[in-house]
Amino acid sequence: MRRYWQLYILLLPAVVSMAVFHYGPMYGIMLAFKDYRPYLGYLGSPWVGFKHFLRFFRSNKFWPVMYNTMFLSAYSMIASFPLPIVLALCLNYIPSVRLKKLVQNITYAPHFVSTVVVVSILNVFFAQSYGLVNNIRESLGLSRELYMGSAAAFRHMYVWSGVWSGVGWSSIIYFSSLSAIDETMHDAAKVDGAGILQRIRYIDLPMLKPTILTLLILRVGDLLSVGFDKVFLLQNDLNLSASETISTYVYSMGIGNQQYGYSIAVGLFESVVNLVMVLTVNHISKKLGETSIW
Amino acid sequence: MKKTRWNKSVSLLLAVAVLAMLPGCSSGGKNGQSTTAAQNETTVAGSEESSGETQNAEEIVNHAKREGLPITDEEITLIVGVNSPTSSYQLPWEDTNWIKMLQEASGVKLEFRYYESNDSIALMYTSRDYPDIAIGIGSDKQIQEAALGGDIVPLNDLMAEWSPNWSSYFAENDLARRLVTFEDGNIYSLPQIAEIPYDLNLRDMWLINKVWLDELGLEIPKTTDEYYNVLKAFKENAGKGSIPEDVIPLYTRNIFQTAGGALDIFGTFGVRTQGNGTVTLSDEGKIEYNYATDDMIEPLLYLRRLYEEELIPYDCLTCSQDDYMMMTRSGKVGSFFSYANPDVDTYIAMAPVDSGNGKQPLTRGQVNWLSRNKFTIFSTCQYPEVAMRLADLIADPVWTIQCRYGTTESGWVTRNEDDTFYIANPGTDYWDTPDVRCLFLLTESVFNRITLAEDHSHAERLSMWENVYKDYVIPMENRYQSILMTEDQTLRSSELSKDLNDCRNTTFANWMLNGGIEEGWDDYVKQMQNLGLEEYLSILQEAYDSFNSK
Amino acid sequence: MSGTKGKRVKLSASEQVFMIVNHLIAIFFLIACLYPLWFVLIASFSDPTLVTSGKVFIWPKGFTIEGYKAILEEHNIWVGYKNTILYTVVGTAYNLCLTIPAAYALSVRELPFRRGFNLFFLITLFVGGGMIPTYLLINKLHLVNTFAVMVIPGGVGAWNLILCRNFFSTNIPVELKDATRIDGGSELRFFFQVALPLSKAILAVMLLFFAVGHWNSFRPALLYLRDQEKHPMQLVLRNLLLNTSVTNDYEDAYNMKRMMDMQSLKYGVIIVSSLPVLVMYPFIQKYFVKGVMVGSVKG
Repeated sequence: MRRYWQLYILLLPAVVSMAVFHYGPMYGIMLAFKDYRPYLGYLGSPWVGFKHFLRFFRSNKFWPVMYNTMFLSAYSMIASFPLPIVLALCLNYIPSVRLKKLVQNITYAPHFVSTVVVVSILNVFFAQSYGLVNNIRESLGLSRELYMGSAAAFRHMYVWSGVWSGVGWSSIIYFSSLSAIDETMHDAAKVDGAGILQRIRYIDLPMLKPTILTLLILRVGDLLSVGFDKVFLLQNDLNLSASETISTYVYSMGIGNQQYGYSIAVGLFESVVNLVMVLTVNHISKKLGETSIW
Repeated sequence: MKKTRWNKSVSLLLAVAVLAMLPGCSSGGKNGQSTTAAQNETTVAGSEESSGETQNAEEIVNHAKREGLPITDEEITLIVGVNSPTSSYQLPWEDTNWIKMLQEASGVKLEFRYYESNDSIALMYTSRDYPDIAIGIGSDKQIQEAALGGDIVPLNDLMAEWSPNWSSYFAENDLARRLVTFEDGNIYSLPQIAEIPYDLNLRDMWLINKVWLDELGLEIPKTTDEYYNVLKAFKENAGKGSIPEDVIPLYTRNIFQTAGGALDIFGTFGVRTQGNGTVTLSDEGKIEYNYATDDMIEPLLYLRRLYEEELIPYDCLTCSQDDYMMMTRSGKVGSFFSYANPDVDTYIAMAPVDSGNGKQPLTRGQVNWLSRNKFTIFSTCQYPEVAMRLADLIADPVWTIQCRYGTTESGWVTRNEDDTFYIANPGTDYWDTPDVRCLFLLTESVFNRITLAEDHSHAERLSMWENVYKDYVIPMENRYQSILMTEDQTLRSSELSKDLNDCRNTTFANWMLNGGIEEGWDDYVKQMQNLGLEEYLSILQEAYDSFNSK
Repeated sequence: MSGTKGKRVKLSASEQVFMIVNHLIAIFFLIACLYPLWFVLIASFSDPTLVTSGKVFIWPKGFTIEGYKAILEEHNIWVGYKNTILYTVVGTAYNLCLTIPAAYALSVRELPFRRGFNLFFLITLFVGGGMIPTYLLINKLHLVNTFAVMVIPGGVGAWNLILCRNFFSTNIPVELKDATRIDGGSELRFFFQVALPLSKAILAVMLLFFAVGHWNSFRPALLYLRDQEKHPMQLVLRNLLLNTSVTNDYEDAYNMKRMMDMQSLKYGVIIVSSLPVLVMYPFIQKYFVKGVMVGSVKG
């Protein structure tokens, strides 16, 4: 028992910090069911039940907005999840340390390019009358397209610019897992005549599996959280049918400023959906005898 | 075995969560207590003040002097909640000459507390952690709520006693008084008054490239047809003279944008437009929404033709403010709509052109002479009378003019002996005034004491308004003024206007891209009706009627 | 390092194909990421009108350093830099002290209530109390407008904690532990003397994640700091770039030139603000490129 006692000491500071700064304010969730008036306080503000939720569910845009949010989220997960793994495995088998480091350094850098600038770059590259892409199209004898005003192009631009920003950054965790693999395992496999692909399959991937599954499960839990900034900056009258997501919708209604309960209710709805997703996927993963994240 | 362990862990988790929530709950309770305490304080302070007056011992109770400067002889510091400077061309408030001069003259030390975003302002109001006074932060709703909680000092009596400038202004301007009076009959915040004719009446100037017109031997267009021909000529003569190869005959920032939008095209066909496409008032005083009436078809067709013939690039439908800024300053653009003229040697402002449909061409209207919620005194402030006198001082023409146009200290403003003012061109230096969002009282009569330097960028707007646009302006009675609405009205109308504007903007943009205006018009109108156009107008009408009956 | 060992060994034909394809993939990633970065760099040295109108693609045009000048002349930038470094160093240290031990404890399978604690942390990724109650709490603790507010409230990152825990449970061999136990060593001793030295790779990654998190963060500063003297660099730069609706409606001669400057500034800001973290990377990288763990404890 003494051993556990020591482990709890290791755990204690983190638990206290979380309890105070994260669980402490959690009573604020009840605002989702209240009409919050600062002068009445949290307890004194009147209960309104599901009023804020119903306002959101019943709005004209509820279904399109849900659809757009999930579509963007799912698309970007499918596109952005496997590539960092591919990159990590790929670099793991590059013999030249210099090249390996170079690629790592370069792919890591886009993480630091702010959203505003990413959107400016997209604008310059894809503009209809002067953009690079359209210049190339024209020289190939193709017509100029208004990409910035196309709903389909919006989704591709959103997702692939995200891949660009994130691929190197996300692969860092995989690099670190791969680097921890005992090299004697590889040597032994080579002696047994295993080729590179076999070693990837039987040594590297099993080692990465817990990380991959954990990240995948967590990622599924982001289903309804599509970041605000980039969508908002890329949004315009013509791509609105694809680019109106939960966060931009709540923002542009301006109701969040009028009724705190409303934005908290929408946030709670997102949280619940996300949590249900995680629990479900985690359950499936566990059923299959694989990683569970708790 | 597994189950019990699970249960245990859940119960532990719950216990931890409950423990964690306890301080939270108690904080909520305490907050409630502090409310009553704050209220008590206010009432105590209030009674002290009134008793102080009867006892004629104002030097003791009141910290401000009745008249003259400095406002107070005591060492008084006021904590002022403000927005951070809007952008890099502005200095922090305390570093501006205007604030330095104000502190010196008033004898009040101002300590600034910056609220960096709407979120932090919201936090200030919801957590009730206030500065002494706030300049330029807070929405109608926030102020209303705070006032209900007794957190804000009602200004009516305070103003009558300590601020001749504001009292007399509101006495003479009933509309202004009604616009800032809350439901309970009190005024909780002072507005910014800017009766500047060229801002009040003129939104964007319609600029055209004079150099190219001269090179091509063309006149400034007078009709929509002539305008079309001029744009076409710009396009056809690309690469000749000073017209670049990649000329952009017309550039707008989307269709419905306040700065640089294409709304003046609608106006030139006689459609009443305002701001970024809000409602206007009919001659009978009814709220009207002109963007779903048949009058729109003609200008839409005209604009579509410009798009179709590439006289205006499709990029305009999606461009950002940055794109608009850069393009209109790149020297490639033949014509555009803009608040200021970036290059007076190249561009000249032209009047709205005649469409030939028999209607008077109009320029876009805007209403910005009164902006609410620029000065609030919180009940936590120990020296409300000092704060009020400070507001009175700012309302003095000398201070107001320097706040809007720059200080005498920096040489941007010169005060003449007859108390008129000469405003020099400040160039591109840092503004030495706090912010355009500051409190001031710039009435028309005060404005008339100003002479703008010829090379001042506003001088051109002033002269263009007087010489070009005066006859095309929408009368004030036809412009919709933002009024205080009830909470339900605000919520419902903001929902509806979001749906309606989205539908309108998307439909119009699609028409510009693909055409189909005449075929699609009826569907569009029907869709707008389904989205609640009637209800929207009736909510606004109801609010407006009740405002007028006050 | 696992792959590099094979370079002296003769590769089979299929492995040679693999190596070629592999290099092509690496070079594809390299170029796909490199060009936009190059664009940011040349755009920061070019005339902003030319950038926005699509004239700059390969080399800078209308060469200018006005943008950089404006950034470096910004009165608060150096203060911001100093603050950011301080917040990053102290904040990261605090994060690591809280997160790593907790992650280790949670990786021990026999720990009672382990799953409960895991869930306790996991939930925080999805549910929070919101801005207002958090502010009330921070205000009550007298943290508003203090140095500590940039460090203490975000002490534990649940996401990083989970990743780190995973690493411990996958990479610390159970046999080692049993050996320690037999020797009578305590859990604390095992953690400090065996687990930590074995986990340099994940420590490096956590260091990087937390540090970059602090480096890029401005939201707590936005909500909780009132003095500009305390602002981190990202907030200073954000204010520098700010285009609000007010400037939008009142764009006139005062700010026109500055708004133009801001356009070239936009790209320069990326360079100025991220250079230190870019330079930092190789130092951390070496801990997971070389696979330091290998062989160090086998004896």
